[in-house]
Amino acid sequence: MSAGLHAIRNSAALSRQGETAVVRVTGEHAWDLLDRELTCDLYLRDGQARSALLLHEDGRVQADVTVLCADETFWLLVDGAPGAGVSARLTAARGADEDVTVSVEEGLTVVGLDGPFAWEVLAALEGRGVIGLPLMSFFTMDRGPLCLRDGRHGEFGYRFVLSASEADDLLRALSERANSVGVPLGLATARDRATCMLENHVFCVGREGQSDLDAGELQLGWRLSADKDAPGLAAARRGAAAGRRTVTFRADEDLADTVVQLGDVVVGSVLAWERCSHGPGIVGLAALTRELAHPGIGALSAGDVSLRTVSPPLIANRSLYVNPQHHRYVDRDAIGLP
Amino acid sequence: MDAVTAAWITRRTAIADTILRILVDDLQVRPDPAGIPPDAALFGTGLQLDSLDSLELVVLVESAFDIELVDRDDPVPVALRTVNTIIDRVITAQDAP
Repeated sequence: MSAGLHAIRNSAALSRQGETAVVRVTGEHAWDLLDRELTCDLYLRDGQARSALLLHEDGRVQADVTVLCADETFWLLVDGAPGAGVSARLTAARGADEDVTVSVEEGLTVVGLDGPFAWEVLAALEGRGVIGLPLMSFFTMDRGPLCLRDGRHGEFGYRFVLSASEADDLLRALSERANSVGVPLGLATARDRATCMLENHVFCVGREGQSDLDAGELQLGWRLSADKDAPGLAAARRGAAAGRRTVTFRADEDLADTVVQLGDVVVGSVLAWERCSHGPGIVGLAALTRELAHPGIGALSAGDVSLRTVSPPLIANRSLYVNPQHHRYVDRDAIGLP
Repeated sequence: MDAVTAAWITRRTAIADTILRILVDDLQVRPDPAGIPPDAALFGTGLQLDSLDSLELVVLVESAFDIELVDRDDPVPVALRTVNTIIDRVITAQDAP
């Protein structure tokens, strides 16, 4: 297990997420524009955030978008597509008489803080009030950055939106505070984070092999409004109801083939697999025909290797066992972590 | 597909239908079952159920299947994470001697 992955699982880890673009949408009709283009229902109050998608017309994902509502300004944290591409799409969709300004905030970047004791590190910097911050909400820190609690890696998680110079200051400050409370703070790479997302069946937009699946097939139906219209929504809803479906699996050996079969019949394909970071064997993600896309199917194979579908998560996330009101890292042995 | 696999899928699908009916009709998590994928997180960043929802979900599932869904002494309701983990727990409880 890499040091960064170990830190996410056991203590806390920082990550520079420069691949995430920050797009600002503001103006009287900003909400109307985003509601037309994004997949989710945009019922947001100031300080709240929501997971959304930008879809192609055929329901495939163009971009993974987290929308933050700050008064009359919306901040979009965009993964999977360049900020300029998203800005161009939104600008093109703007009505001629609509008051909306869309801008890529090139000077802003994103830093992550994840792990079962991430809250303890942040509380050491910002005060214990951050422990009560609800999921998918954010606040503006004294130093200027936005701090969003979302958690995309199966553990407590925060993302900070800030300038490059602020990022250096924040990383330094968090490291100092982690030291002061005795929480080992690692540095997680994009690969470490992708592993966490795979093991928790969290959507990772950059994962190879899934580009021909629509949002419904990727089990992202929860990000799709049930009743509004937006580009790609109708196709994605069809995929959610009747298309293929992603499932997580385990295997005992490395895979040399990505075609999944039930006997002699091809029933799907492997999208990603890795050596398990916390035990023997392989963990992976496959897209199977709908009728077979259930956990507990053990008659599948990829080449000569048998696969068994399982319910995610594939690990016991320690954040489930940590209560910020009662626990600290230094007391971790008394918590009974798995 | 062999008979054992077919029976397993039929069983899981039937349990899923009941759980989705609870989530849609009783808890009104979403208006559409397709909006509740089987591996989507029910709490947190996924469908964003809260602690009150979890209590109601446990009661309704336990009543529907006449099982004990979660150990009351266990502070971590891992079984409630997704529809699929609830199905796993229902099957384990039903098959317990």
